[in-house]
Amino acid sequence: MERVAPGAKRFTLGARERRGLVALDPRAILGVLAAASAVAFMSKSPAVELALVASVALLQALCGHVRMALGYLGCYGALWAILTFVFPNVGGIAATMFTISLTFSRKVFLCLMAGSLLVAECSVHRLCAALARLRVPQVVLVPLTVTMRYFPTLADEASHIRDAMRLRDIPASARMECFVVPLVMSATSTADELSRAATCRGIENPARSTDTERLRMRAVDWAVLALAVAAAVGTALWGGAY
Amino acid sequence: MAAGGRSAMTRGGEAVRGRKTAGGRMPGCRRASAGENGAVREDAATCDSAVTREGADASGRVRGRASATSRADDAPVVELRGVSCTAPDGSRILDDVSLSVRRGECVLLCGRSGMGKTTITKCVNGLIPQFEPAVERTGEVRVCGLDPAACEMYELALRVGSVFQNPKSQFFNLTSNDELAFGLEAAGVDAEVIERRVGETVRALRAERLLDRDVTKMSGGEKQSLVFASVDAMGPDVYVLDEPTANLDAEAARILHDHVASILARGKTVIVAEHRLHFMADLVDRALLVEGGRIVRELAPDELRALPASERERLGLRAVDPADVLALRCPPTPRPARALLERGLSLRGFSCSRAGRRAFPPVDLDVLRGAVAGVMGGNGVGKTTLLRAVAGLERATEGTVAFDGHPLDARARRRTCSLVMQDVNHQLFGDSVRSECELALGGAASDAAAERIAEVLSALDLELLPTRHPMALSGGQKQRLAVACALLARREVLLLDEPTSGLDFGHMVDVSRLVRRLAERGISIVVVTHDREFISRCCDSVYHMGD
Repeated sequence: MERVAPGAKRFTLGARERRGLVALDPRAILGVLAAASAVAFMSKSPAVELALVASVALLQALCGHVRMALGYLGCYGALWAILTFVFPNVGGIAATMFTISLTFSRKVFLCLMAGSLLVAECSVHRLCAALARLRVPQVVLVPLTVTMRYFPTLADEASHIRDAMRLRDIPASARMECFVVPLVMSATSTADELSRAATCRGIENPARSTDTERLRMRAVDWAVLALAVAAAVGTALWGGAY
Repeated sequence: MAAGGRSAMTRGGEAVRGRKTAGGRMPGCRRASAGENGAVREDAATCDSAVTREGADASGRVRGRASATSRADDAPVVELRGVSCTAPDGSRILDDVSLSVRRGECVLLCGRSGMGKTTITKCVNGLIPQFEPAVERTGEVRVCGLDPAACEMYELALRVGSVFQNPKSQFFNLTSNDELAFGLEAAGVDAEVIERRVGETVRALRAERLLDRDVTKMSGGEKQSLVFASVDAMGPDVYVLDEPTANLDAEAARILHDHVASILARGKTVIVAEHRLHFMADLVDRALLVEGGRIVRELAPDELRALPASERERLGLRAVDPADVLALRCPPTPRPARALLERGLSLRGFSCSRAGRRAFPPVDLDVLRGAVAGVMGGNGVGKTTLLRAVAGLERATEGTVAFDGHPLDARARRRTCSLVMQDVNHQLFGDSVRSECELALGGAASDAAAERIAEVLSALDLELLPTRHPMALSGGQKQRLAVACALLARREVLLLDEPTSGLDFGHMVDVSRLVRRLAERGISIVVVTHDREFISRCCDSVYHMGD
């Protein structure tokens, strides 16, 4: 047996603490997201919509994101109240404009909920592992990984440039250019250095990369997936009109 | 020139003897003690010419031993024969370089910047010609039996591990565990095997603190350690390190030194290009001086250490002896009086808070006009935050910053101070050197303005480049351009953040002269740095943070 010093951390891959009662496979959540997107295009009665929102909120809560679930329920309630009680009683162009945008938000509300759950539950690495298991080709995966990897660096560099600009008297007319040019320059060099390092570590290896997240569809994942499909089909057939 | 190849061949045998005398190595050599896996090390020929060179009978004994080892072990792991590289513009960046590195050897490439050290490392790790096809490489390169120009990069990646200068741009995952697994994951190795190998690496490098971390919250030194561990987890035979400590402070460099000692103890081969010679001096088997694209001289470790300071500086090398490097010939800043300075910068009880906590303990500091104060302190003690706060870039500050006796608020400080950032690229906005200067003057294009620009540019040796794009300048020129803008905007306080990171001896001396010249103009200068050689050369006093 290997010697492990007392108190030493063991290196394990794909392990993560469980937040809630269930821990879902990213593919199950992707399924919910797909179903939510399909439902967004269907007409449905307010009662059906409320039931769907409530059930996705329940899923979020079961995954351990109780505050997220309550927040979305609150938002939906507010949205619904404004659309039913406030706007019919105030006229004018402004109300019409807001009615359109708020109704649209209500339509995509479910997608927003499922998307938030996906982002909260999975790291980029985990999501990419799931996409790889779904046989999404490398040409999509590698740029996706790199883009997601680059965002924190971009934010960091942008804040440095903003600081440097605050220390100089830059005329307002030149500010945009002064901000973008160094950002693009440093982005180019960072991208170059990153790809050198990636190449030197063998990112181009054609071998199927290991699923270090150890993804597995459990019974609960299949159940969630089945419910999502059932909900989408049910809404399409008996959703009612609105 | 062929010295590289020949001497490695003859001394390769001696190497075998070197390990017998390992116990008698120079004091301070960490390699023997860091080894956890003695067995591996015994198999590998690890050479230490400082020890082997003394005995005249060495070669005879050696040859006997060497022939007993297998033929494969005898062959050099890395071999360059008559390698030349030509840049697209026709200039020679490498000129007929021959180099032969044996298994278990640690070879240091040293010399001035831009002389070809990095190019040699690129020929070994395949970036030339695979990543830079415009560079034409001639001659023969063999690395672990492969030609880096002909094989696939991912094949080479399993045998050659590379660590580069900038820790920020070498990781791909946001958690350290995913990063440690990255290379093996791409190669499709089983998850159980990855876990075992990463566990072994982390234990051998004593880098348990790297596990389960959010990479974006790690310091530069920890990131570089993580990169090293991730490369090591792939188990390459050859490690190519290109200025791995350029952006690190002394403590982080020491940790990296111990990592290198650990892999050498496991019989791995290391090729390292580095300015900070003291960091590696006790580990290297030989140092190759690279000049003008050629290997002009080979030095044994004791020769390297024995170089007189004058010759070493002529060759553009930094100090070798840690005692020299760490010596601080500069008095600490005296405790300031209560009254604010009448001519200069005064800080009184100055600190700032981030997320409700003080970023650094309150600072009391006086910097006269014409004086240069150095600021030192370990990683994460808040040196850079201090500069940002003085410059008026931090929100929640306490205490006083005053110039010429007048306390300044954050807004006024942003108009009095200028800051030369560690990455100067973030603060140059113009499309030419001249327009950058005009921007600093507030866009006025009068004759007087043109005259001032000409004066400042010539004072900073930039007068020949007014039409160049700032991004096309060298690192030192960019730094000087940022300083030029500060002078043109009549800033009276100049704050410099690590102005010498990654510089060779000559450039470091240039920066120290520049700082002295600027001080003569009557401005107050504060320099944050971990470069003690630099401080000893140009600062009037040193403030130690976190004491």
